[in-house]
Amino acid sequence: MGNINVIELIASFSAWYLIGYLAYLLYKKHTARPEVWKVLLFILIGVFSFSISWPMFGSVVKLPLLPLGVWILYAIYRKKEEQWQMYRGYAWLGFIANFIWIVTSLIAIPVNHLIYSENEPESYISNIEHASIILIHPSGYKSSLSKENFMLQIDHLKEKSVHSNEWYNETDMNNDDKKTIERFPYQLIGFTPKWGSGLNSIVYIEEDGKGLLISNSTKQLYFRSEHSLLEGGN
Amino acid sequence: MTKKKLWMIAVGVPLLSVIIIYWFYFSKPAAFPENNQLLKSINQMFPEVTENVIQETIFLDEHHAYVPFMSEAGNYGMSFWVWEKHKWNVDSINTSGHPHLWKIDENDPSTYYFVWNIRPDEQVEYMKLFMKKDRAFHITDGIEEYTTGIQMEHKVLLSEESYGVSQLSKDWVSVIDSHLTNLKGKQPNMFFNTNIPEHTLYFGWTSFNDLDRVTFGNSTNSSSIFRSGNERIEFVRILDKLEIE
Repeated sequence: MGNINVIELIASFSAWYLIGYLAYLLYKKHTARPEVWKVLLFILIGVFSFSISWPMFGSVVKLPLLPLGVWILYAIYRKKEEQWQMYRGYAWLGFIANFIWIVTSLIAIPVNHLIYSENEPESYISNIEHASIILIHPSGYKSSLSKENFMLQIDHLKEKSVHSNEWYNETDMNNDDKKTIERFPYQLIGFTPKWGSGLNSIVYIEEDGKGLLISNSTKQLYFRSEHSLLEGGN
Repeated sequence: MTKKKLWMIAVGVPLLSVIIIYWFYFSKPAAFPENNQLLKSINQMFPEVTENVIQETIFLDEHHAYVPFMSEAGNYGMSFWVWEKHKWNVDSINTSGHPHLWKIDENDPSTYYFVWNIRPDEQVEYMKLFMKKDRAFHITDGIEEYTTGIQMEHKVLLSEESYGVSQLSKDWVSVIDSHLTNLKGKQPNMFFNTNIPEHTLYFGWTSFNDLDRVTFGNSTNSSSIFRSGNERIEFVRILDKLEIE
């Protein structure tokens, strides 16, 4: 379950529930019974819209502007006055569904932050029972993970800033005489993030065994520990 | 129409379509074609290379087979066969045997196979297969991202046979898996976008002779590729000495 974001799942479930409930309210209002397949079709086509991208809360939100789906349906049904009267509500519901999804997603973001702190290594690496390390660059040495050390230190890691430019330059690439040294020659595998967080990441370990670089799809975090997380280090 | 007839249609038609669909898409593969059958298909694509000899048929799984072949003129080629729509079809044929990576299921790196069929006169004693990611740094609005340089290698001895297959090791599979999962998070969903450039893993190889010197493929060795299917069979590029860290 670590791979799935439970909050997002609940949010999208609520959104669908709300849309379904609104459709049901509309449906009950009619005296004549509309056809269910047509109701579904109108909602589905109604979702189709022209949207603009708008930066908001650190991500880009696609705001629906023009209800294209509604227009298309109107173009088809404007001659059939009665039908249009009966079904247009569902087309608009489809368009409104866009906003419902956005709002529920926006609510999910802070709730997520509250429950799963994105700045703590424990959120990303919660269970290391089956974890191990892989040597991913020839400049590192064969080594293995010390689970004991790792468990002892995970709560006491200090966050440091990522100096990407510096790290890149100190590797001495394109220099034939010196061997290229990768700062993070190990990758941690087989761990799981906190249950329901969906915080999948790639975790690299620094050559001295005392640094963790956590790379997520949206951000990167760097932590240092006092002692080595690897076997035989200090 | 009588009721009986209606019933027969109502039950018979769906049943028949299920059987046909099953037979077409899900049935167990039939016996692999005989060598002369295979040669016929290969020669149809490349009439100019006639006197071919099938070297071996190597099944990668139940539905995928790698068939290296050679011509009497000394050309070494590869053919890729897939059980599809109730037939063994040739997906592609390559008249050069330099390493390729066959991704049978792109989402599952444990189904990735290196395949090759290298001419003996190239005098390759062994080769090194590489998986790499280029080191990089990226700064936007003061937020820094460092892309770790990855270089993993796997040495393959070319024994008596000119051809071979190598499945990815567990470590390689783990590294690719973690990248695939991370990539999924980057896919923009319907309403939110993130803009972080993706640096990807790629594959390469270098060949060595018995004096541990890098060999360069015979440049006169022209190759042509025939593709009819949609299998992911990627060319593995030759890595320059400077690219290897």
